Amino acid sequence: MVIYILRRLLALVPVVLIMSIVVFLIIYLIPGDPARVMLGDGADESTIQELRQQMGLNYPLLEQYGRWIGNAVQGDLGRSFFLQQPVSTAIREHLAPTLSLALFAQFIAVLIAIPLGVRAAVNRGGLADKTLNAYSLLGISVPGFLLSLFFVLVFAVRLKWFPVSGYAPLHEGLGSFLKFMFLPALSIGIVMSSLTARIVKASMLEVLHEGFVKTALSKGLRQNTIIYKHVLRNALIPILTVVGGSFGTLVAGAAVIETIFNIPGLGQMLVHAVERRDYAVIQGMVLFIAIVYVAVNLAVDLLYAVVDPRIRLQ
Amino acid sequence: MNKLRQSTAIILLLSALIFVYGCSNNSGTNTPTQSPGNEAPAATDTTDKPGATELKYALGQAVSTLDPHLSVGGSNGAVILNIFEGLYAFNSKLEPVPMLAESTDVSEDGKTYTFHLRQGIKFHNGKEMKGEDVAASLNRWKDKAPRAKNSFGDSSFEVVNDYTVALKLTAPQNDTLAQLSHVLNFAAIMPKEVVDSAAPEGITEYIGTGPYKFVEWKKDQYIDVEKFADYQSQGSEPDGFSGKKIPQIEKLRFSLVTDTSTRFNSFLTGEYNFVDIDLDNLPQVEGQPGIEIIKSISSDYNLVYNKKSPVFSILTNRQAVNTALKVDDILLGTVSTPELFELNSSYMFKNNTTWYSDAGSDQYNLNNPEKAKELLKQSGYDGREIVFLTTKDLGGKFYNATLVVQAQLENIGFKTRVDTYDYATMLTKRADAGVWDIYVGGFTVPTTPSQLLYFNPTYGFADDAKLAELLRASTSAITPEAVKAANDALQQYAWEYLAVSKIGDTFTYYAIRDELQGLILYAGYPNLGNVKVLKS
Repeated sequence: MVIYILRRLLALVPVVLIMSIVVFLIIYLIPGDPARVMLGDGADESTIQELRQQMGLNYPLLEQYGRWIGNAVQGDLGRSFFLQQPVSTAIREHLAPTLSLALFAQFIAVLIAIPLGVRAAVNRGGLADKTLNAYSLLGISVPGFLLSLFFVLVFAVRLKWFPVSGYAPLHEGLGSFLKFMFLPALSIGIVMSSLTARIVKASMLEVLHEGFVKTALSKGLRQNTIIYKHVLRNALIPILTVVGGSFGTLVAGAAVIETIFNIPGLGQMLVHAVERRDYAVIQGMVLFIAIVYVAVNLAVDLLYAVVDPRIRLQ
Repeated sequence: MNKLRQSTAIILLLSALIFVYGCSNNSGTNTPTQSPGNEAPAATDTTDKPGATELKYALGQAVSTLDPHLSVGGSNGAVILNIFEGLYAFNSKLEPVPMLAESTDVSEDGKTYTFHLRQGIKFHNGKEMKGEDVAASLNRWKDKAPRAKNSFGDSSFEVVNDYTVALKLTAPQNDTLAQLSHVLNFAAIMPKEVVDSAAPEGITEYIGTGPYKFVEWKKDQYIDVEKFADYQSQGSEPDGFSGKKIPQIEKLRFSLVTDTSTRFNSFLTGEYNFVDIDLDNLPQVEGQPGIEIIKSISSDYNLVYNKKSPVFSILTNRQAVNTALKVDDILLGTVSTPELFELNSSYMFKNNTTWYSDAGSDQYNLNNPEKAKELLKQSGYDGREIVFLTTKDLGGKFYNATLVVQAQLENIGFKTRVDTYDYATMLTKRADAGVWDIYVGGFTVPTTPSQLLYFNPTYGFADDAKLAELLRASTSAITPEAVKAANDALQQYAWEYLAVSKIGDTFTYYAIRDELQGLILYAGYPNLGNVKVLKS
């Protein structure tokens, strides 16, 4: 197990290396100059060149990359000229809102998807199944940003149950944290749950036809015990894969939802960084996203073994 | 199957209900009031309701720097102009009025300015403002700020004594005081130590003399400031950024809310008392009790020619474009309503008492496609594709304006292409003379001719000895009559040389709640020095 984890972590190295090179090349090859953005409309060439020199942008590309990767392996992701702080600090500060949003949204998604998917599978063709069909169709076709704008209009502007936007960290109290987080998490949660619920249903249907279900039934086990303890557990692998994948996407930053609800998360930070060509932040974020994806995938793989002890990690 | 239909119908019905509820509004029919000059009208309700101690102000763009000397507008200015002050400040007529200066003596040849400073002015760190701070600040300003560099690059500010600073110029510069008041690349006064310890990317401590003291800057989230207890207010009536500043709130938070609809919705729920509004959102607040709609002048639109491009290095081609333009349509395409634009042939706003001029206006808004076609024939235009450089960022207005211009030019026989980039790329492309021909954009707060970026080579590559000479003459004239004559000559010639074709001036709508009083808007920049928030 330990060897497995170590091997997976080791496999991270080439992934990150290749990604960093590709990203480095892309952002340096696209036009746009951080010095020019910083100095604005009226800046003259000499001032811009002076700032470029100070920002280290005039070194050869290879040298810049070497310098960056050299520092990165030592844990130093560089410094953002725009944020005037180390990139690692910036990522840390923006991680909490994003992570809480991701967890909350995932929680809502699972809360909706599992019961709905299970009911739809068990009672195929029944009301739950039809609701699921309509619900997932709606969830997949309505984009998250539209849903959030409706929620804002109805629950924040009209009914005033929730604030329009903003973020309160958890340590300032659970109440205000939930108040700010609920609508964005719900918007993402609904969209995510529509896909997850379909997977739950499909996966459940597959397992429901297995022989052990019949055995359990003939043994006289209660239906709920069969469904939730035996069938669902056996159907969990594909569900975990989908949930893990979407969670990874969320931790990388839900830029649109974060912008609409003005949540100071990683998504917003990355968008700002791209807009003003804050190279250090873009590179740092891409590295971070790569690590998050690999870590989430690893966690999912480890969970497979927990869910299904027949799976051996080697 | 029936059940499926039923459930689908229920869901659709529910969504439709939510949709209808969300979109319905009960707007009234009041029309917005235009504020006189640049100022928001003073609210009339002055009852003795207890005041709130905190105010939240929504910023639409990320603050990139709080270094006044380097700042080029946008949200930066909204914060900076309430923390820092200069020797002079603009009133609503764009006239410089003493702020930290008591008075100024100008030598007869116009080459020496002696600034007498107000005494007892405290910085936010408790230190008294002295001549050395002023000289250090302004010398940094004229070295760092592109707008100041052109005019004061060879001169220097020198300390005469603790309360006197002198500026020695190599040639007279009649807009010196105006440049010291300008809101972009603001000539703010800060302690000498702050200047000395500044990093290449800007100052690291935000210490000024303004009515609000810097507390915290959470990057890309908010900036907190608080009332400065030792603020020494000027005596005169508040006007523009000049005059008295007596804030009646303790804490002020500038929050970054980049999304327009989020900003607007937050205003609707009462989180903010003041917001810029899109035309689409106007019906929702128009005529609502307790909300006033004002419009404030925001920017002037110009069509900038690349004077190094193969097509527009030829004057006749520039004339052809200028002859074809129908500016009403361009402005309508830009701001979507006649309420939000004004035709103006001058490079200056009409309320700019010193520098507004209607010289050359016979070349403005010609709308004569037939003559334009003739000019093109005359110049021998060979059908080469001309490239419009634009961006959809900054609200998409530049892009909209560009499309209307494109249609007008296609109409007279130009072959055109629009290259659209994000803002950062657009800035880089624009500095490259080889990749574009025409750029249509808005410019913020033109104040004096020396501040007009497109008259110098950095912006559209103007390279004309006569233009440069007339520009120098207009800023070195000394008597008011001579200034007027030189300025008229400059604007007349500018319409002949056509570095740009002026399109017109645009306004922005703002909504303000009755609870917020004392806010003064100056071309979109808020003077929060006298604000009071009544509890609703």
